[in-house]
This record gives sequence, structure tokens and C-alpha cells, in this order.
Amino acid sequence: MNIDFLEAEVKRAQQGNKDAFIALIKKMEVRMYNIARAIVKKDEDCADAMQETILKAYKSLPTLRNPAYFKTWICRILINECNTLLRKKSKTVSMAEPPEAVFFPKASDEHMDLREAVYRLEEAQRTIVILHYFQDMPIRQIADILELSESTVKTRLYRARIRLTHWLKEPVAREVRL
Amino acid sequence: MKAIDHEDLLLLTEEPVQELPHTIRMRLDETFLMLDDIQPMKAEERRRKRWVRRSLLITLGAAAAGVLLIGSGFVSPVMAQALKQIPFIESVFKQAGDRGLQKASEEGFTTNANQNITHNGVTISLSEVMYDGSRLNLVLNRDKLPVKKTSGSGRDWIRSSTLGLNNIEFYVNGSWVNTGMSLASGGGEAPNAIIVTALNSPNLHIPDEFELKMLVKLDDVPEPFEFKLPVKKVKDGNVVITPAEMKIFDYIHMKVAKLEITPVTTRLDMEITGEKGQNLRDIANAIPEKYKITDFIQIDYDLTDDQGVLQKSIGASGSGEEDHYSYTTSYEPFAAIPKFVTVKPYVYVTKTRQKNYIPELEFTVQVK
Repeated sequence: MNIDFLEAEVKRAQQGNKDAFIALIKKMEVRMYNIARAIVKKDEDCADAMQETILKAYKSLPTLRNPAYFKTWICRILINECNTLLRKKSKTVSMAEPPEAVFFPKASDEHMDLREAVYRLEEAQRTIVILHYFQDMPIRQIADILELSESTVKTRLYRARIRLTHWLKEPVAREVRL
Repeated sequence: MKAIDHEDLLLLTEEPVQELPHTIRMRLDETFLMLDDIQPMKAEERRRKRWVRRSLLITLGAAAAGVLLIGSGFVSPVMAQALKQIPFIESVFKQAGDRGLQKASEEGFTTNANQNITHNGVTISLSEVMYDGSRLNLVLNRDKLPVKKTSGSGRDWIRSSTLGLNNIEFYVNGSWVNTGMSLASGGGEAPNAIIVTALNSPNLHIPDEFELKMLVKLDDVPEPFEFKLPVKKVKDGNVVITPAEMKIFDYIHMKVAKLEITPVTTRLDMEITGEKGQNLRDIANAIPEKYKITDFIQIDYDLTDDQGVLQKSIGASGSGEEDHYSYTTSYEPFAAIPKFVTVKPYVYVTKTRQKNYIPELEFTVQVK
């Protein structure tokens, strides 16, 4: 979609044209799904996060200042919703059952381990690793979406790699990060 | 095992799906139907969020002027956190108006609006009003103060010290104005009163005479108190200077947008831009960290007269628009109009409690 056209569509949507808004969402819904799935994994959670994102975006669409940022803005809301959902779930788990020890063995399927370990990173690092490596998103774009500087994004990636190395190098029992 | 590096993580790239699973498709279609029941916000609700620099007037104002200054409910979460951490000094209770307001009162630049409105048994009255072209000040009084909360939190403290005020909306000739607002305690002599300062934000175009409408909203009274009154600028002959000079240092493109000297206030409007075509984020990103706190540019401005006397700040605010940041700082009035003034930008370092001046961005503005 060329940029002028996108902006015109966003402006129409901002003026209350619901169909224009739906058309815009439809153009990026597959992308949204891929991002959501990378963060929350389960389809059921993806659906919740996407639904909440669409409703929130529609409600606050007139507050979007620059129509050119529509996609970035939607992604930002979506990522927030996904992380909120994960936080809620981890709270529910912690109340339902005590945290159990998790073991990171030097298993044969190293990638499997690494992927799982990524999900145990703290949220700020995890989101960036997922977007950059799982979703192949450029650092510039991540910085825009998360409203961070590129150097902050790079620093967090670097720290995440150190943390992952540490975890996978020295398999010890640890508590689940809740 | 070797360290996890970039290459290892690259192997984790997920193959993107090209089509939505059926369950997701169903949920989205259902979501689109739900949009009929949703009322989008009004565009004006967003504008307040742009006032990211409310915190400045908290830190500067509370410490320097000894008055309690509060953004009107549109601080970002980061700023709200910062706000909570500001130590409130005892003098906020003691001190009423700044020197400019004292002078305005002595010299008869104020008017008495003398309006009272009662809702739910609570009466709010509007008494003194002053507008000098650079700021509007007025005094609000509440007959019965709200019940004091005893949690001791900063927010409760503010509430109980500001008459339970939630927000005030300002309308000039019927149009809503995107202005910041600050509040100062009426002091020991008038514990039920507050001094409100408004219409002092950057980039407002307020005529010399106008019809002011104010909606005063309290936390504990659902209906707003609506005041309407004519407002006239106190005196002509304000000195207004708009120098064109731009200074560039460390990617900061700075200029004095306006210096306005009135009998009651000295107001300085500064502007920061970046390279051509840069938006607000590009500008902020390009500027080195030492000028920023949590990604926000935190440059403040001292003003000295031709004798080198530092002028007392009475409040500040800022905003960002498209490709420039605007900052307004108000100072107490000059004893005598100086030949020139010097604008000294600095970054306040909380840890050392020191002002780190930026001499490369210092401006001298000829007044006479």
C-alpha cells in the first residue's frame, strides 16, 4: 500500500469511517497474527490480544496524531496487549500453584532449548528478541514500535544474549520467572 | 558450550503464516461487528497528552518558587512517578503569590470577578483575576474542603491541598484551549484558596480581550462549576522581542522564539528543532543522553538581567509539535527593564543537585 494512500485511508477512518478502519486492519491482520503468535504462542491468546487491540485502536484512533504511524501504532498496542495477557496469566498461575523449579539441560535439540529460554527472559528483553529474531523485524522498526532508541534496543539484545548464554551454559535448577 | 550469539538466534526465525487460522478469522469478524457499539474518542482528548513536560514545572516550580504546581491530569506514567517523588517543602503552604502577582495586586492590575457557584452544597468562588498577555492568574476559593485522606501519599496530599480539584478546562471565546495549568496554595492566611495559573503555554494565540469560560471540576462533585467572565489584558506596552538567531550544538538547534516583558511577568519562549525533515523523535534521538532524562529532553533556562542578576522562575511548561519542541518559562518581573538579558540553558542533575550550563547555547538578547 503506498504511503499517501495509507494516510488517506487512516484519515478517513479517523473521521469515523468504520469501513476504512476495517479495511486497514484487514491489510495487516496476518502480520498482527504472526507477531501475536510469536509472543503469546497460543491461538486462543492471539485472538484475545488481537480483538482487544482492534477495539482499543478504534476507540482511540482520533488520538493518533500522524496517520503515517498507523501500522507502528497498531503494533505497539498489540505488543502491549500480548504482554499484558502474559502478565495476567503468570499471575493466575502463581496463585494457583507454587512456582516450580525448571531445569535447562544440555539437551540434544539445542534450538528448542534456546527458544524456550527466550520465553523466560524478562519482558523488556524477551519482546525485543522475539520481534528481532523470531519475527525478523529490523532494529529501527522495533525502536519505533517500542518508542525506544536504537541503541537501547541493541543493548537489550546484547544483554539478552548474555543471559541466555549464562542459562544454557550452566544448567542449574531455577525458579520460573513469574 | 559456546556463548549464544547472533547466529544462534537467527536460526530461531519463524516462518510467517500467510493466512489466518479459521478460529482467528471468526474472532476478528466478530470484533469488526463489535465496532458499531464503540464510540471513538474526541480528537481533543489526546492533545493533553502532549504536555509531557509538566514535570518540569513540578521540579522547577516547587523547588525554586516555593509554590505547588501540578499538571492538570495529563502526565505520563513516567512523569506521574517522578511527580510522586518530588519532596513537597513546607513553604508551599506559606507562600501565596509570586512577586509579579504581588505587584499586580499593589498596582491595581487585578479585577475582582466576584462569582459564586454552588453544586451539591459545595460553593466555589472566583475572586481576583489578572491577565498580562503572558499568563492568566485567578483565585478560586472552596467553602468546605474535602475530607482529608490520611494515607500520606503525595497524590492525596495534593488533592487535599488543592480543594479537591480534578481539572479545569479553559475556553477562550468559546474555543477550548490546550493550555497547561498550575496551582499554588493560597497560603496560611487563605487555606481554602488556590492561585491558578494558565494560558501560559507555548504557541497559544490569545487576544488582548476575550470571553473566558472555565469549567472547574472537583473530584467529589460530579457537576462542573462553570464560570464565564470577560478578560482584558492589564496594560499595553509589553516589550516583545523575537530574535532570529539560531545556535547549534551537540545536534541541538536552539533559538529564542520570544521574550516578553510585562510589568507582572517575564516570559521566555524557547524552541528546539533538528535537521530539516526530522520529526520529534528523530530530534530527541540525535541529542546526546546527557541532555535527556528517560528519553525526554530536559534542558531548562536561567535568565539573567544586564547586571547578571538571576531571575526567579515561577513556572515552566513545554510541548512538542511536528518538528519542534517549545518551552515556556515564566519569571518574576524585572525591577527595571534591562538593556539586555542572557538566556542560559542548563541541565539539572538530580544526583549532584547542580545545574550543568551549556555555554555554547547561551543567548544574549538586546532589549533596549
